[in-house]
Amino acid sequence: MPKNAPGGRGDSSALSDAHFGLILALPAVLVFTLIVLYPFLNSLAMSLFSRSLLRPAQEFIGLRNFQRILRDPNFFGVLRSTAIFVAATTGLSFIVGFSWALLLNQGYRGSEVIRGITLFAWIIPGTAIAFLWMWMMHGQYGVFNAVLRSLGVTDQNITWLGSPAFAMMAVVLARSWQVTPWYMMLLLGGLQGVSHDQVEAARIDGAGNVRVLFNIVFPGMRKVVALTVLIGVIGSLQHFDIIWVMTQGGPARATATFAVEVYRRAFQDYDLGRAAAVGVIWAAILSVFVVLNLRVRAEQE
Amino acid sequence: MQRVTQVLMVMVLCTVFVAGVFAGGARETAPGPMVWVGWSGSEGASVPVFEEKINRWNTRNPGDQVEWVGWPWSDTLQQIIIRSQGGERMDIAQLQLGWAETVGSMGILADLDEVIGRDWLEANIPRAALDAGVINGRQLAVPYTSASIGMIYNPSLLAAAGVDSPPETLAEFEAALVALKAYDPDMIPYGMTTADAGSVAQDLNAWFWTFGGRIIDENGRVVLDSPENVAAVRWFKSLEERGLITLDMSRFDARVLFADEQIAFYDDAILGRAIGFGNGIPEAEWDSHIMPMMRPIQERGQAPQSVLWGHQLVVFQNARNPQMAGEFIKHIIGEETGLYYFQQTGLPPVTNEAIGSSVVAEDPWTSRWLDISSYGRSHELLQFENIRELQNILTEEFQAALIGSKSAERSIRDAAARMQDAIE
Repeated sequence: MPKNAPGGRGDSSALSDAHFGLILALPAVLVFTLIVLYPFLNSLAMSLFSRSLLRPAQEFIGLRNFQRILRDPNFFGVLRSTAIFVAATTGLSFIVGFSWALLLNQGYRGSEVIRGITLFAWIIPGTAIAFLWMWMMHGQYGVFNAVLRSLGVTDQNITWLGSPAFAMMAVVLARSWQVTPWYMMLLLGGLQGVSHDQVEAARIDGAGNVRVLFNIVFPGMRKVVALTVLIGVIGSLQHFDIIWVMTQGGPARATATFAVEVYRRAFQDYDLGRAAAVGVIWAAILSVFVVLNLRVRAEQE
Repeated sequence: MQRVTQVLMVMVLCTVFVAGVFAGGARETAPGPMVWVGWSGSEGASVPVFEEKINRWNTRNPGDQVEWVGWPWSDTLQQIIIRSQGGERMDIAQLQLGWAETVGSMGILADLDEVIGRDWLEANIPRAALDAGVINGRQLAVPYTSASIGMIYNPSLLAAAGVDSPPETLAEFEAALVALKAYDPDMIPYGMTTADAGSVAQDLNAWFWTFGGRIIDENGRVVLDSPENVAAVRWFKSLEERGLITLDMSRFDARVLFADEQIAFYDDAILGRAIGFGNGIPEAEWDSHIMPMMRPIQERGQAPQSVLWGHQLVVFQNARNPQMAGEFIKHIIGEETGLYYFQQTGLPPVTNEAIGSSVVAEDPWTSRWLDISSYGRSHELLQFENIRELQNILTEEFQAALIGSKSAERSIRDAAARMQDAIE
């Protein structure tokens, strides 16, 4: 760079590239600090205090909030419900989304339109989806019971949201219905990146659909699958609205996930300290998947 | 030059962002109209009634206008707490009976003895109703409407199932439920609330009293773990096993299903008939399709049980003009507006003159409901500021017994231990 060029070493009044880059990044850093970093650090600090939503006074109590949470036998129920919800939602959405993507990838006539229609479920607000599924699964006038009874599967109404297993199944179905189009889109993108030549060559060598799928397609889109699953897991771990509207974490806490637990601690028990402590544990679990996600991305790059 | 422009743009962006953030967080200090918050004024049929009540005030008081800000019932307490913490100005609030303990503990409510005047309150409102608004020795709330939670039944369904009159004892009640189930196997004879903690805990409290149990003693200790309460939960489990009650039943569901004749009994407040009307029970069929009844008792001669229910009004300390907010409350609960509200919604007035008026006394639904209310007692968890946490615990453990994951004994024992821990 010439000595007298703007930004050059000889031009002491001009900014270096590094300083200039930093200044350009400043708004983003500011937004990140105020919207993400400050609330996170504040939550971290709040988890060490006894603090009620009802009054501003607070008292430092060290790790006592964490001790109370870990001594609460219901906390392990929350861990279990969260794990079941995340695993079932991710698994179901992945299987249906991938099957749907395989079908749409065949390039049948109208597949573009069907892909567009499929995305409707993804753009509907979670609360609306929750009400839709809640009514369909209502014990007295829901369409699920009507269909099962007309098929002769059962002769009496089933109270879906009143049974722990069925309630979990209901929220998993509703959430999966919401996110399956998202899985489908990402996986379809991955499928389209798989080499057609390799698939053709395998078929000429006599490979059937299953072998092509497991020996060519999956290895070819390994990173897309890993990223999709990881982001899906993170999304389900954070999920709140469908569960809250459909079950409020019930019956008997059967669908109480971390998101529900934090909300209840903060806004129903008014215990901000314990809500923050649950949030910190939740964030720690989430961070495992975030780190994995970052590693997969780094590998990809 | 281009870099200087870019840097300037970045600085402007940062300044705008920071200014926006702090402007958004600034407290609302503009005078504006008085703000009345709550939920009823945003609920369907009540909207024009509230508009009319506010219009009457605004016409007479052009310098002290009032505007309504409402949320769904289930969000109202939370909204009030969060907005108060954020320093947002609210002048008057409608509260559910029991919420004043929570909001009062925040130290944000004005003493209504000073705002409205002790003399006016004592001269116009019955002592018992006033006492329900005394928190830590201060009159922080006044009644807006007051009755109690009773039971509602469908006479025509009972008759169709061969039940001649509303049951008076538990044995008669159980027999009626069995008869109704036999009449229509798809029916849920008793729409007992088993979802939505606020309603479940309230209704359970009345049933525990019926069985001779209590939740809290005079010293504020949890006494839930008693043979009487275990017997009550065991009884409900037996009803659930026979399909006479069901899980996942909210008050909202029960009201809709009752209007649709899929439920024959359920618990509700005095506004049950107005809601039934909204859900499609025509006025001509009220006598045959929706009637109030006393909660069944164990043995004849015992007093039927009922939990007091009502709405209250409070004034915030940071109200624009607390005295004028007090005047607005007098307008709202006074005879003229109180009777107008009663005629439009069926919710009983609270002032002595309005209660004694012929309009109220000659309404059969109201007079029967006032008989039920004469047995009303305060929900035992009202005294705690973390009432919702306690109600959640009780409901979760009750649900655990109903779904069979815990025995009645274990669910009551666990509920008692968890509630005592939450209180301490």
